[in-house]
Amino acid sequence: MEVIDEIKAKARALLENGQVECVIGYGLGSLKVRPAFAYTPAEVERFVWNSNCNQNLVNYLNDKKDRKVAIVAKPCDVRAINVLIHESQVKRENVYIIGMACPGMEWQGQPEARCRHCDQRVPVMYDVLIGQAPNVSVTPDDYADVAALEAMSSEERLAFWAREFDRCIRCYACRQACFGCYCFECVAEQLDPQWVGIAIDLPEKQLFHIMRAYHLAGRCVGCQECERVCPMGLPLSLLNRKIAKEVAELFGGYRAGADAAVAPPLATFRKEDDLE
Amino acid sequence: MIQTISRASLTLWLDALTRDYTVIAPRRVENLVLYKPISSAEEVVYDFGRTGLSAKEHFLPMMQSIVNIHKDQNGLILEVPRLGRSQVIFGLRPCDARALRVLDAVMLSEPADAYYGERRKNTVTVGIACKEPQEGCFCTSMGGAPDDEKDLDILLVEMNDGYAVKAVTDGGRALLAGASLSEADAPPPVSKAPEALQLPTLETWQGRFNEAYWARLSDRCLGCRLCAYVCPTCYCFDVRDYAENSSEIKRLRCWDSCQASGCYRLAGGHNPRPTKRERLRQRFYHKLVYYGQRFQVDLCVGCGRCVVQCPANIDIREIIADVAGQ
Repeated sequence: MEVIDEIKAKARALLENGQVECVIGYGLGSLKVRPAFAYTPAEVERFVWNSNCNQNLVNYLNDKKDRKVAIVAKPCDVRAINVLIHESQVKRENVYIIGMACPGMEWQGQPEARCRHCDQRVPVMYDVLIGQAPNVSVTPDDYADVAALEAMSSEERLAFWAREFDRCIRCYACRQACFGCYCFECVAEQLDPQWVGIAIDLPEKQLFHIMRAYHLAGRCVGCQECERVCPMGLPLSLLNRKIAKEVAELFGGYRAGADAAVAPPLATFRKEDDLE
Repeated sequence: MIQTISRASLTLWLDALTRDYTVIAPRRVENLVLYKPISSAEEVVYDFGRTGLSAKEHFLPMMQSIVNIHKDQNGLILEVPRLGRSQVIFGLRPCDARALRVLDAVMLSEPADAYYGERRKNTVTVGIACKEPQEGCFCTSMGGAPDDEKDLDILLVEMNDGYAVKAVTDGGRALLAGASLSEADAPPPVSKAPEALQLPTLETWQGRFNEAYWARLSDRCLGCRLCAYVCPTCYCFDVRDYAENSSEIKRLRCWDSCQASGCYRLAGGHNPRPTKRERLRQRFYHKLVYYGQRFQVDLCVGCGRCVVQCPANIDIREIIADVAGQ
């Protein structure tokens, strides 16, 4: 059976036997692959599976709290589910994970860089696994982009980020697309008290992006949804990768969501922790 | 007989304009092409298709001080910031020019918006006709055309060795005074237009307001502001005072969006459009129903930016077809 037929068969069965009320998958849109929500077996017919299923759909679980849903999830997406479970945003028993063995995704006609370095082709957790893990040789991530950033002087780095952040229009697509940005009211938009002004100006943009990056420290799974949705082409994942690298170095190679049993280091405290 | 301008003369003319005007043109900003001020004609990008953002920001800036307040021992001094030099917007697409007429309806009807009005009055637009539609374009469905001249001061149409030039208004004719023009017999090539969609009737729109369709559509909406910010006609703004210190205060007006969760929140906390469903539906009813009822023109020009840029592929063309069809 083709991979897509397996997804459809599973989704149909879940809806038919009432195990879930909705299956979140990928559908063919007018211009591209887009999220598709199937509430009836017939709606499953719109589902697709191909190398353009980049989007991390886990973000939509935040809208379906306490509902029984199934979700088509790649290995990186499943790590995001783990993060949400750790943070008590999602209950494991409410989510049926249609885990996908992932061949790697493409973006704008090219294999995504993150996928070329990905050594995790099978999700760490699933209720059903669909597809075969591809037999690909993976080049380990050398973090060359982060190294280039680290090699800059602090003045150069400030100038680099000022130039990048300057293009931001504060549309918040990055935040809205992020599974980890689920705050009911973002501190960047709170009006009373107002922490960040409404100005679409460099200081506010800088504050927003740095704050968001810090808030995602130890939580970002590197799906790079933020960067793909940015209409202004900001290299947002560079910021997240820098912090993920630091977290891994400081906390024994920790990767957000990689292990359901390991509590996130920035959400735990032990008396014996070295605070230096 | 038509008037033409060679590429070399166009460059000379644009360079001359930069001495007297703030010339805004499609130019490269990192990996994007945006309407931004240029200092030299060399910066102009001609094969840009559609810019990432519209030219709206030069009429409704993303951020603009509407009053500067200076406080000292003599009291308060209020100063209204004025536009410096007049603007020339070069390379405007006919749809983006039409957006200005659409915006005029709300911004210049009484009580008129003085800030917008000042920029409109002091801007000359030089358009370039589209040769062919880009992915997502639907200008002809919204009353425009790829070579529509009527909302421009000057229209240029690309030819083999330059552009056909048509001065549409007196302002356009005056701006062309310093340009070296020639004449040609053959007309420029005709633009390829996108196919027009069939628009729903008012009754159809009204009948579908409460349908489950809107909740289902909003399932995949992220609730970001991207569509409103790339749109040439969305004009929501927010106003806040900024104190730089105890004596310098600015009243800032900044872009806002109807998709923001707090956009409609009232004093006391009530939100009449509490979920993405109501907010997304409002976007399309405002654009395609309410605005037309009030101003006899729709709040959309079919530029296609939201169509191609929405991360969730919420496609206004599909919505028009869905509402009209079945």
